[in-house]
Amino acid sequence: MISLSVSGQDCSNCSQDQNIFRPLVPQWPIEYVTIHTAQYERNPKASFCRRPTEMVDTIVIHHSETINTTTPEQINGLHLARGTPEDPWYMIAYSYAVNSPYNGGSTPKAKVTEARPMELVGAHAGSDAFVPMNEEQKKMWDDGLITCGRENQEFKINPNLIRNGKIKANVTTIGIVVIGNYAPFSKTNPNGYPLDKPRYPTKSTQDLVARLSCQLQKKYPKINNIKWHNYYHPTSCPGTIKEYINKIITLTRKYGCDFK
Amino acid sequence: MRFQVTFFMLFISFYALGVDDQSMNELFQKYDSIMDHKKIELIDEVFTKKFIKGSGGKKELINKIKSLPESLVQSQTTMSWKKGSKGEIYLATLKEKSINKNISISNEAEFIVVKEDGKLKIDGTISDAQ
Repeated sequence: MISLSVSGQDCSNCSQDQNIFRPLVPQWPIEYVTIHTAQYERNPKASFCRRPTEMVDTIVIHHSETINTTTPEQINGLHLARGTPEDPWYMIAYSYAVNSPYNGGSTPKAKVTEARPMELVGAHAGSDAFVPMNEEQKKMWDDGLITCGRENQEFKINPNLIRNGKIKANVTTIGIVVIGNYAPFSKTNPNGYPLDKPRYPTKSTQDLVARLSCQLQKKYPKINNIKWHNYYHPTSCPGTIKEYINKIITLTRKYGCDFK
Repeated sequence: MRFQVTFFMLFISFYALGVDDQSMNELFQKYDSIMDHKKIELIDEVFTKKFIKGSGGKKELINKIKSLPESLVQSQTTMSWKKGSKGEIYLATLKEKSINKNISISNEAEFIVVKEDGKLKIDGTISDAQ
């Protein structure tokens, strides 16, 4: 396992291969929220895919289903552990992680952290979810710009990313995870909220996600959709946050953004 | 001599793996007892201190368990587990399915299991990103 930063600033000693972790545009054109960086361990034996950031047109909102004080680095550790020797995971599945307190709480401090770099295809929407491509995305695919491989190995086109003319949703989306559990308590969700006290994202959490989404759109103008995990895949994720997606979209307009 | 070497290898393997099917099954049988039969006295044996604290404390966790309605649908749970590819973490997948073929319920969860005071305990769950 190797530990390195996703921050371009902290990567002065990176080898050329590791330069893939440098954000292509290191500066944010507009900063609505401070985005922190973190050190993420990754598994060099795992395969992963690269893409032009122009491929991305959709943000997918998740909840982590963990307690809300879990750090992105801890989620990275859990995602590394989830792999098997035959199919190891490369690193944290999401591109951004949002820590924030629950309603009435004061911890953890609200914070946005960069996770899996935008240039790398994520692992969050569901491996069985495929979406149509627009003309521009289709050209990028046809031009062989989406390639997969392992560190220090040749990257190749992976035909498994395409099915019936559609592409894996992970290729055209990025995942934002709100750390916490926004689904009700049940036998399969023992971390969930009490049945008589539903948990919703606070106004400040909604605003944080809206500001992050808008900041991403200003930097990557092709991003124009906000969806949620169970839009693509049958799961309880992102719990009650799903009910607030329209509100988050409305909030982004306050910052001059336009999402569908 | 060969017997001694074999025994030694088995001993090493046991400690390298640290966990077997039986201990994991026992943990989830106790978990079933808590969730299905409200055996709240088993809470400390099943959940880590961190999990209980993260649930708002033992009292809050007990209230949540007690408020869980008796399922109107008879369900069957199956559990499978694997050692995480990193560190002393185990990941157990719990699948809940209806026994009645006419009623469709299908829930799945991934549990994080760790060792606390030498015993396997549930430390949390994690969303099914992939």
